[in-house]
Amino acid sequence: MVQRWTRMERIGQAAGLLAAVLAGLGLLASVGWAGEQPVRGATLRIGLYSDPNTVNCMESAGDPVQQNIITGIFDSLVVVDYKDSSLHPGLATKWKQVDDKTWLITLRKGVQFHKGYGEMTAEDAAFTMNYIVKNKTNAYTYVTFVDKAEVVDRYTVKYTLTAPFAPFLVTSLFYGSGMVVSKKAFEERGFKAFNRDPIGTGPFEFVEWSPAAQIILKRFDKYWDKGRPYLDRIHYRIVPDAFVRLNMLKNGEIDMFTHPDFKDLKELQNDPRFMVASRPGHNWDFIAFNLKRKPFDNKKVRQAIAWAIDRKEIVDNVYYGHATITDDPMPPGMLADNPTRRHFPDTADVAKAKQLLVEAGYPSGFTTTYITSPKEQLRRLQVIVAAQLQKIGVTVQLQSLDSGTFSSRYWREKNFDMATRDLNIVSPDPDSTMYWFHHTKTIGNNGYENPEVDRLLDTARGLSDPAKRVPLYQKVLDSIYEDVPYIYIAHVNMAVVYHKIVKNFTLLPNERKYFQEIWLGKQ
Amino acid sequence: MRRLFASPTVTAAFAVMIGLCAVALLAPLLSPRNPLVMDFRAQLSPPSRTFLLGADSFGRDVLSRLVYGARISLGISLASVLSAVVIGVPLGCVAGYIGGLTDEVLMNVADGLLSLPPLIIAVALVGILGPNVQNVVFALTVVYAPRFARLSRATVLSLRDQDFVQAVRALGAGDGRILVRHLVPNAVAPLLVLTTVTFGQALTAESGLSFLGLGAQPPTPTWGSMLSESWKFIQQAPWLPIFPGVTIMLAVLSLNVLGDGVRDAIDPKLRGR
Repeated sequence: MVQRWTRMERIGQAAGLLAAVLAGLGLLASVGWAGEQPVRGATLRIGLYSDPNTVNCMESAGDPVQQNIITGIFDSLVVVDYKDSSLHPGLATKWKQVDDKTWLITLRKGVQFHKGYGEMTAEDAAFTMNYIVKNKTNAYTYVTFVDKAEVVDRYTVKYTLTAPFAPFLVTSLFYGSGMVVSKKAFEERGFKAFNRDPIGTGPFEFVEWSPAAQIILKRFDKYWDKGRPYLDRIHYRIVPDAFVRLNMLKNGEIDMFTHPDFKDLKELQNDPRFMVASRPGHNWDFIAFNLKRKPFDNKKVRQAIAWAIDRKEIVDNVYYGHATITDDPMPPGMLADNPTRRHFPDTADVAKAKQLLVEAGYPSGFTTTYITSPKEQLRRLQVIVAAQLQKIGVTVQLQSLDSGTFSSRYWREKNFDMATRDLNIVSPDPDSTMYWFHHTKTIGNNGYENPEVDRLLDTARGLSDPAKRVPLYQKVLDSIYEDVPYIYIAHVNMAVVYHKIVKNFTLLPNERKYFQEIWLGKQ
Repeated sequence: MRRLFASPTVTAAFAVMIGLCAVALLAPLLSPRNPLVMDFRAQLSPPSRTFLLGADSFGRDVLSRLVYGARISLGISLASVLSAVVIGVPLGCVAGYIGGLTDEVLMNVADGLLSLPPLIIAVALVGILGPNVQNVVFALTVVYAPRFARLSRATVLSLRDQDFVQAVRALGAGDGRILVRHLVPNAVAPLLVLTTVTFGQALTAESGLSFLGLGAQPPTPTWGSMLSESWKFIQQAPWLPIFPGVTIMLAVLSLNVLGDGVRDAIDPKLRGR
């Protein structure tokens, strides 16, 4: 297992170069692709669990399915290498921070839009950003602090922020809001039609989308990165059930699928026909409390529950080992993450939890409700948590709600006692995982008010020197350990199962996939 | 009665139902383990001496969960059928007896409900009201009450102008007395058949709802939720979905056979055969 994903890690952006180096070291000789030349042609068939909301990058937020698709249709201005968080050119070749609130971006020349919509210019890039900011589309999440974008010349854009925001490039120009749509095509089609028939600069052109059935992309011949992509087509099949996706792979109906059922991975790892890629993801599963309600307005009660949770039991029996136990919201590898710095143990401390309940004034426990969305693994997690809390006398009544009801009760109405959810962190910066859930002024906040945390978070996002930000985030973590506004349980692995003929596939810690690098070998 | 048990199939079906009801009532005595206690070391273990029917994916004893599940599954179906009778029969009788606008309104509502697939209405209602035991009972009552109303109305309608009713009325009996003492008793036989058959359907519906996560919430065991929790593990533990599946099948089959048996026993056309 470990061997496999570290190999996947290594197949990075500069795959060709790396491959040569590693093959020289003999590390890759055994796995066999290093010496092979990329093969052109063929269709890659992928099983996804649901339709995306839209295929417009302006509408991207957390939707995992969409991430799988729009990375083929659109390019982003900058590209982050997840190995070392370094920034690389995408549609932008150069970037410069003029002052705290101003950035100048130089665009790549000669980049063509799909279907004859002409060369991408500063006009298109500025239009995309301004449209998102003005109309608050879903991608607005990444640009709340952006004031406007202006055209300086044909290949230069100036971005002005409303407040200093250090991780601007990573958060705003890497995904969604950092992708560029064709202004001409957008204005011709209008927002609604563009959501289902987009024009971008990516390695693949959009062909068709039959809801609940399939989405087809085809190779863009004028892609700026000469020689790529290798595939002729990408054929996404929408198959909601993981068990069905697995059997389709076995029957040769698809070449790859995402979101396998973790319990099936062991069997698949032993199957010589398939590869299982699994690596820690940028996400977290958590228990949220409603801090405005009794008894969770009491810090000791929250602490008691945090000590009563047996994270290891959860990771072993919900994710079958394909997750990393955590007690903080910092995914592995993110700035300010320190895996050795732990407050809560892997297993429960029932005696300590009971003691805290006594101190809180609930010596014989209490009864409360606990909601989650219909995601299979979260329901399973919830059942296990309920059994763990029973041991300290806390009875929780479980409710599995449909996604719509859950969202409105959790995000908008704040009508819950305890809730469980999973969250994908889209931007690889601690600001996105810390600010959005712990600052008083965000929608993720469930009544947690700590002025010190607010101050630290506001300061940290304005500092451009990463070394100065780290201690601030660690101070925030200390407050979180003490106040327990959430209980963080695990960072769940990203996992993809694919046929051995799929070559040069890199699994990222999120749902995005760089399809321009993939080719299909012989059966 | 004698006619009912003349058929060995019906007798067997009756015995199965009595058995299942006894299991439900005596669950705490019969179940070998606590149905909620998890033992992850035992997860997915096949039937053995410790776990007679194996353990599920949380390491909980399948037999104990089946036994306790009988309480919820049979309880919900029985409760919803009985409340459907209690609500449907009086409404139907009144509609049939009074006629006119009351009849028109009540029967149109009933027809409206009958025209939609029962499970769709139930899913919609539970979806709106929130998944829990009371709401499932409520939804199934709404679904099944119209058919009892329809049947009792038809019986009352066909009898209300007959000579014996006129005779009772001539003797000075009021409407209430005529309905309760003279009309309703005549509807008991067909209602009994319908109740038995509906019980079976309600059990299927309850299992379906809890399979969809709309019934009693976990970790409470029901047969339907046991099925939905276990079928994903069919490759690792093929026996796991079989036990709740077979139990549901057995119960529904028995109720249907029993319903047919009751009908045959009281249908005058089939007498003497």
